[in-house]
Amino acid sequence: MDKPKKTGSDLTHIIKNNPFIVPEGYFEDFSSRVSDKIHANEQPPLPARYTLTWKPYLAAAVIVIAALLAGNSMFNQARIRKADRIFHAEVSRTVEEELHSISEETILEVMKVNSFESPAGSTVNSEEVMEYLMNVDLNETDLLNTL
Amino acid sequence: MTDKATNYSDKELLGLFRNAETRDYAFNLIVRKYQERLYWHIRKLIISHNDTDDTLQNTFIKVWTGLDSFREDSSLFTWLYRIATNEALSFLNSKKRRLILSLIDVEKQLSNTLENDEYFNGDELQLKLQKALLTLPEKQRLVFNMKYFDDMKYEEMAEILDTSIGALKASFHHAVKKIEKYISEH
Repeated sequence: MDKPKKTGSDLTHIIKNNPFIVPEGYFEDFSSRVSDKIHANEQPPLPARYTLTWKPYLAAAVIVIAALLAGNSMFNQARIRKADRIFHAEVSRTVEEELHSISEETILEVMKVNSFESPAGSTVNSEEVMEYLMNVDLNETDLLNTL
Repeated sequence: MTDKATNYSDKELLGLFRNAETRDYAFNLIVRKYQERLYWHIRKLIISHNDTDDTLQNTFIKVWTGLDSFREDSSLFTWLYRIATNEALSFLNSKKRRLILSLIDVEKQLSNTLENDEYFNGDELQLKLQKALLTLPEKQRLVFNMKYFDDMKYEEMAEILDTSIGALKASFHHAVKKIEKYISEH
């Protein structure tokens, strides 16, 4: 391989053999070093408890559980919304009934406490009362508490 | 062992490699058969023995992982040579990037390595030739080495480097001119 060879053209004065050398015995153990490196780099298989194998019945079970949880959640939300609607209707009806039962004197007393002056001075109609209630931002519970 | 390796044809070695029971044995034979030729090919590009050793190991690790998908469209030797060339060029590029960051001239650094290399045994003219080679672009240096030192045919080089024969001839011609100029000036 390294037999001296003369070149053509103007490079003829340079001997064409290989000027590089390698450390003693380098090629003797190279293949075993490469093999060692390859096998050292190969990852050992994961222990059995960490391997994840595809099991169709497990996937089906997961889907069924997810569907049940989603259905339960939707049912609960619908039930809560229905209960809210019933509660609000009940409260509105109660307040309405209570408002009708309040005497004119009581209303005048409340107005007086909250510094309300009737334009007419002595009598108020129901529209004025409602407008007043809206202006003072008095909710139904507060009004009932004053009774 | 080297004799055993050369006793087998590439086709036989590939057959042994594809058999799980003889896979390691076949790979060992392939390494022994081609290690020297690939080493010298890489060494002439990279210059340093230690870097060449790393690059050759990486080459054979790639061979190990890729040999199953080798479809024999080219000869085994051509395929190995191509992997070794790519590994050597990648190494030089990454070295270049590292040295550019520290503002060190790559050719100068390789030239210094050559002068202080305990594994360089050439005379003054051979040292000058190697230094001249370091002034060439990598591809030109590669073509010059393959033609000048390895006496490779242009057809074979074209297959390995995936370049036309005309381009290779032109590249070699330019390389020779530049080297002659360098030698006459230094």
